[in-house]
Amino acid sequence: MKNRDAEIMICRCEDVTRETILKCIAEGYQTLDEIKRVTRAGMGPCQGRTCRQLIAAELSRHYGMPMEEVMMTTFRPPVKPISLGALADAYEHERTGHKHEKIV
Amino acid sequence: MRIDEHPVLSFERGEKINFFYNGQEIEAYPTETIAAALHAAGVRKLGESPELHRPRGLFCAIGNCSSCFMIVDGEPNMRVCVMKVRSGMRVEEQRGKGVVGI
Amino acid sequence: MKKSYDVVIIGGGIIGCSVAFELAKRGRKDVLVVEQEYLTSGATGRCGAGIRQQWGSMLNATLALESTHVFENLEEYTGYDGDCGLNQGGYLLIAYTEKEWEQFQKNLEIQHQVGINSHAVPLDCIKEIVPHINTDGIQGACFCASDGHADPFHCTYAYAKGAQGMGVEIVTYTKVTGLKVENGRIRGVATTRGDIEAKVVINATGGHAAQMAMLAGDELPIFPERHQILITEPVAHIMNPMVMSFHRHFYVQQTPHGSVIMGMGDPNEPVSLNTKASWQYLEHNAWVVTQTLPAFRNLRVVRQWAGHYDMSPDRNPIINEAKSAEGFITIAGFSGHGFMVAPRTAILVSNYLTGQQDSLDISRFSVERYKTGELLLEPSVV
Repeated sequence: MKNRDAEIMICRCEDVTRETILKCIAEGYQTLDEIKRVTRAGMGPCQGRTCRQLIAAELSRHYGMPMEEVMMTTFRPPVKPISLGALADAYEHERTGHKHEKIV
Repeated sequence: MRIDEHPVLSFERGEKINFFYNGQEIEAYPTETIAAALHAAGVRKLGESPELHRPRGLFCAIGNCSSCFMIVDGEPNMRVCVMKVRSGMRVEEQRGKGVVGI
Repeated sequence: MKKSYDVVIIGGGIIGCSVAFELAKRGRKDVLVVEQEYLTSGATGRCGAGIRQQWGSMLNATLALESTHVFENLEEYTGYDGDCGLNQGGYLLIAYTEKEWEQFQKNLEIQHQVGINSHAVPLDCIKEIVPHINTDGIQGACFCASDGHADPFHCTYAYAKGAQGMGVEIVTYTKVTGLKVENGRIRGVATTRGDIEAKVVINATGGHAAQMAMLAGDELPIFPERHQILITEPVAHIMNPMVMSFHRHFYVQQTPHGSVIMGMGDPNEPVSLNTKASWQYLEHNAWVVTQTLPAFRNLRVVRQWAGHYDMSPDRNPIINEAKSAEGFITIAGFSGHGFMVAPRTAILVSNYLTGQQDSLDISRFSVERYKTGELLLEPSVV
């Protein structure tokens, strides 16, 4: 049977394949937090929104535990990516009511 | 291809506009997203993934993932599935990591 | 997990794992590392992971220089088959006040004495190092090409795996709930998985160090302080060095992967174990950094988080054996520069615990210094 795992994408942002995830689990990593840090899965632009559940499913399968028991990674702001420029302008605006003022 | 007849919805598409995809002129409606306009024009590949250079296109189509990242008017990492198309927009395939203008 | 070990190390961060490795390397292999969550779950996994040699005291310059040498070969040193992610793109320190610039020049002299390849950067040469920087207000700058940044997870795993390869045991998701002290000596620890006897117990718990030390009757002036940090989506390479300003309290670095990390100190941050992220910090850091690096306005933040600096009164580490519990040794108080000096600190501590010579005097780091006034003073910390 052909091993398709090297072609199955789990983390689409960082191109982490199912093969890599399974290897990580085989090496003894047991949690989403560890797998994320070793493989970078979940660290890309979508921050795990796509792969988090998929990796949890692999852990659930491997360790024979229900999905509800797989420990989730911490959900952190921002919920959607936001540019430093937009944030900087918000700060400027709140502080001074003006835009793009240079600091002394 | 666009849906013209629908049992429930009616589409107020507005006046046709043009934008550029990889230098090529494409027709669109101002009420559409860039991704919808490209899809209607038969474009499926929107770019390439950063590490393995996989050709990729729409995945979630709701602005949640990063599969549809394209370069729009020079700016990379644009989620074209949730961006409305505008007349004269320059849209290009993004291959790999975005290049931020300095 | 056995019922007794020679050494139990509480804390699976860079300090705990590097000490375990160095102990095992010197033949003291009957070691257990007890980590309450996953390795690097504390400050190590949350830090900016910068490696700076540009310090203002002989001690820190030495610790950093010698640690950098270890980082340069960490994979080979520990036999790690992954990539520790060291990127020596240099640190550009920018001074925004005359006073800062004067201090930098003093610091350079000390760094040169120790053998660090740092140098002052003439104002009209700053753009050669960071082409898109806004030089308004900059009074002076220094650069050290071998400063840089590494991957804190992989560096810790390198030490952990290396230690395990020599027989050290590591348990995760196991909390130390108490310390056993009898007749002024440490006897062991109580954990959520049972009691463990030990001859030596090392407290490498970062922000929790004072709390943990209290259980052994050791009162240490180590205070956890939240520091926040953010990261952007990965983009093509636009900046090699870390850029840091003490006056404006920020550091910013593009990782080899392409994401840009940045952090900012808040002089009003209270002592706490808070690791929540605030929107005020997010906006403020974005504003401060884009003043100096306006090109970064287009970068999008994907995540912000926080971790603890374990602060000590003179902002330098405390290595202290409890008077109330012989054999209980705390290694904490790194005040935001623990990662970058961990390798040399681990060597110092393990030399001490295996009776070997070390060019540094470990007693300088004891808590006694606050009584005798022999503080380890360091002028340049973010």
